[in-house]
Amino acid sequence: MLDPDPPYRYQVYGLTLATWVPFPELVPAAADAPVDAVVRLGEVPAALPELKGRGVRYQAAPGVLLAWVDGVARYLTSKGREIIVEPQPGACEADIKALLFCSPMGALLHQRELLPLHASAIATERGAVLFLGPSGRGKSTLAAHFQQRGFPVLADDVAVISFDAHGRAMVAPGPPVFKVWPDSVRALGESVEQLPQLRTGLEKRSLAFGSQRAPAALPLARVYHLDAVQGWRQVKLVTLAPADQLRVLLNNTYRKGYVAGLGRQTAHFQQVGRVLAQAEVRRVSRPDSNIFYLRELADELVADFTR
Amino acid sequence: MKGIVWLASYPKSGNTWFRAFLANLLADAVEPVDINALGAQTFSSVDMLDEVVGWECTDLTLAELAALRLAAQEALAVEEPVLKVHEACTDPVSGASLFSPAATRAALYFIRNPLDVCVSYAHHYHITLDEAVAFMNEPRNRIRRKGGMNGQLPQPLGTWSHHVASWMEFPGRVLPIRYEDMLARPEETFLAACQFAGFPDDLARIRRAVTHASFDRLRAQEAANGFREASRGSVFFRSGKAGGWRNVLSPGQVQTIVQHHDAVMRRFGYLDGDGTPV
Repeated sequence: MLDPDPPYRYQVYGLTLATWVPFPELVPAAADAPVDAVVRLGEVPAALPELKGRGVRYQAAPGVLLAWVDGVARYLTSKGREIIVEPQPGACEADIKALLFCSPMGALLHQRELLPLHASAIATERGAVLFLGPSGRGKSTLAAHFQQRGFPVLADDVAVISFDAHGRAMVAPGPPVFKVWPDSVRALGESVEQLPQLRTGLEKRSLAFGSQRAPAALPLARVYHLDAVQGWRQVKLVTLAPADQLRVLLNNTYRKGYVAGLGRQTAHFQQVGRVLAQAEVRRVSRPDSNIFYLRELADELVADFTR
Repeated sequence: MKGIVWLASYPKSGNTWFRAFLANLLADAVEPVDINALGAQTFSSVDMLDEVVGWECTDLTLAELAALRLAAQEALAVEEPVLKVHEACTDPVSGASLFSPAATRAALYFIRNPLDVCVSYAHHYHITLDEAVAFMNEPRNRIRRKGGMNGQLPQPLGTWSHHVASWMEFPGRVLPIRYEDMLARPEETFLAACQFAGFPDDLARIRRAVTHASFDRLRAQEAANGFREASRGSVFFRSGKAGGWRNVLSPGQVQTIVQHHDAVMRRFGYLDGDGTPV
């Protein structure tokens, strides 16, 4: 018999998550907090009966998403309420847990009609500032650098926008862990050897936010799209035309490939429009080197978002 | 016919030049296409693969990525993408196939005299000529940035000879195109490539694209606006000639390359009957 009411409660992306195993890196929720979504072990079907979208390692239909990594686990995310995990023989628990917060969580967020963006987020006096861009553009490094400068961090890798009762776009805290490459770890002055690998066999490390963690959701203030250009010698901020701002948010939606399969294309487009009515997306082009331009980049950004 | 057209080559062998030509051919416009908007994504680009796979490639292990590689190509093949690749056709260490014939519409394989490749390779990666000679004969050589992924999966190259031979043995449709022929007989060479790959083959259109993608124009654009595919601190469109190695490589370096790559060099006309570089 599966546990109908998992014992561990965590606060992630403004949701209360109930789980069957502890996640010590997450922020605990009050024991009596109403549960929004449950993660449990169980059997996951080999395929979905009716598909609306598919990829090499996922299948999607309205309200359901099946995603898997061979040798680790299969995950079935349903109706924004539940993620069922079926571990594969021989899989290590750390891998199963690490991957849970990738695509299965992305699917849950989409199903709950939230807007997950591929971004890191920091807390400023003006509100939440997002750094948007695909893997390897330096969004984690930048957020971690801002943390060293005293800015609390809201999220790394995936930043989630929701709309409050007044329709304001809000950014809630995500799991308080950076996912960083060894290069970035060194650029931040940390020791690679002392940080745990994100998964066995992955070079990427996990680095806890520590005490500089933003405790609560903040209104969205500004979005920066990170762009690295080889051969550039300076950092440059560019104002984007409205159509380009729209394109940037659509393209940098986390797991955007799921949107059509989940039947959320129109709703997703409308959400992006609502975000743009409240916050501007600017492009920041920098030379293609995390390490040598980190300070200059951060200086430019601070000057811009405090202006 | 659906399927992928691969623009395949060892690095520094004319792939980007062909992409510039193709972008201009497809645009068919009065003004040349911006070199920073060439299209023909790299297959190893994680941005593209993330969506095909449904997971972040950077969250997966190299073994997990290897296991889904051919399936990802087959998923991409439902469209008609043109994708640039630098990988050898088979893994130089394990022998595994890295490209799916079923997903392939055509492969254009760009090949250049390894003596010239060596000079360009050293320049591009900021290494000495001796190091470039050694890399071109290193079975484990791969394009890979340590300490980060930089938006691309690791790309196994193997030795220069393995690279060429593996593509020539690809069970799908493959056309070898010599860089030197692209230089010496552009219209004829580009026309043959377009006909093989199913690209527009109108001669006037090809002529204009060749002009727009001429070396001088590419270099002028790079000088004016930079090129996002250049390596840090170096010029990408540097020489664009054949035979430049004669002024740069030492007799010992030439001898080493010729010794290691003799058979493939002969096959593609880079050595004469006596084994002397042409």
